Amino acid sequence: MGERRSQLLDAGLELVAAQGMGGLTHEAVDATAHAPAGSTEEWFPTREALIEGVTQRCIAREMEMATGPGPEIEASPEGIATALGAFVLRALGDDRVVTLARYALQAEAARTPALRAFYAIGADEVDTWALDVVRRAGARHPERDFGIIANYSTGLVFHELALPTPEFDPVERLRVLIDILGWSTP
Amino acid sequence: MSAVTDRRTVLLDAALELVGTEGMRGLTHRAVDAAAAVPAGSTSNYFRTRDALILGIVERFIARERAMATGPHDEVDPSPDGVATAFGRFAHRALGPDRAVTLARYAILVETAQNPGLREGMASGADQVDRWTLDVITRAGSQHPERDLGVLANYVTGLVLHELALPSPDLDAAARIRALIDTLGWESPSTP
Repeated sequence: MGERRSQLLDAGLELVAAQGMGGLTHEAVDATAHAPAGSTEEWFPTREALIEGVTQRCIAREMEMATGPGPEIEASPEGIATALGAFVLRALGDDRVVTLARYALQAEAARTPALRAFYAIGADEVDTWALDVVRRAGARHPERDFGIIANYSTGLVFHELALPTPEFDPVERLRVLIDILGWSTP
Repeated sequence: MSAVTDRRTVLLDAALELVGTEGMRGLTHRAVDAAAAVPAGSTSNYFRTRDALILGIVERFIARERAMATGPHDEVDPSPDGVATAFGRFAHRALGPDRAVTLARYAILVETAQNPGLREGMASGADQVDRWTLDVITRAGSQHPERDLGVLANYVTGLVLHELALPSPDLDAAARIRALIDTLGWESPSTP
């Protein structure tokens, strides 16, 4: 059951990435997911419910992009540089769809304040988890450093998406950034 | 500014606004004519193709983004505080009065990701901004200007993107950027 739901939402993400929010309709999701007509409406009765579901799926996939299949990453500077570097590469490569969908969803949230609540719930969860990892990795100012790393990674993906750097090495870039922040081994 | 450049700028500002509010799908030569309240066909006269129009918009938003950072005198005080103030001013304007520029920028970057033909025009604009910023942060005391430019530019882009979707109450962007600059170990240039 959960699997069908995820399939529908992944199809929704693909549509948003390729066509923007305008491409996200219940019928289009059915067709893209090769599901019987009406399936999407059964799971997500309203457009709002569908956008909420797609937003949550986007956040879940981004989390998976950073951690790999397991929920843990090593709480050390190297562990965080490796995990976030892998995230950046996937965001630009295999999971480009998630990245493009995210920009469309965020732009929509910027225009429609009512949608922000969905983003806020997911964002809080990710923030709490990430803050803990950063603290355990030796950050002396976890809030500040998490903000710096998160914004940096977002900007990095954004710039590389449009203007790719040859031989791009995000793990090295993140290592340099973490080095600047002066973490000490706990 | 001559009448010709002025008309061109008016068209490009209208196009920016259009892309910001409606996304790339809203961008047609006719829609720009209508938004700028100019005779039908004006936009086609200046920009023959859709790609030419998009490259015109890229050029225009680079100019507008620079104005957003520098304010009326096109100057930044080359000091850690001056750089933090400029980037902070940029972030507030990007989230507030110049929101359309920001949303247009995202739409065009996504378009560039899908249409590599636009990259060349985008890259030369980005180079221009980078050279100018490198000069300012070097004079402000950066010991690793290339590295620090990457850190600051990515940070500010990420900050604006996050704040656009999820605004922090009472955001003080300049203070956040100042805190980041503090980690970069800038030294005041030796004064003669």
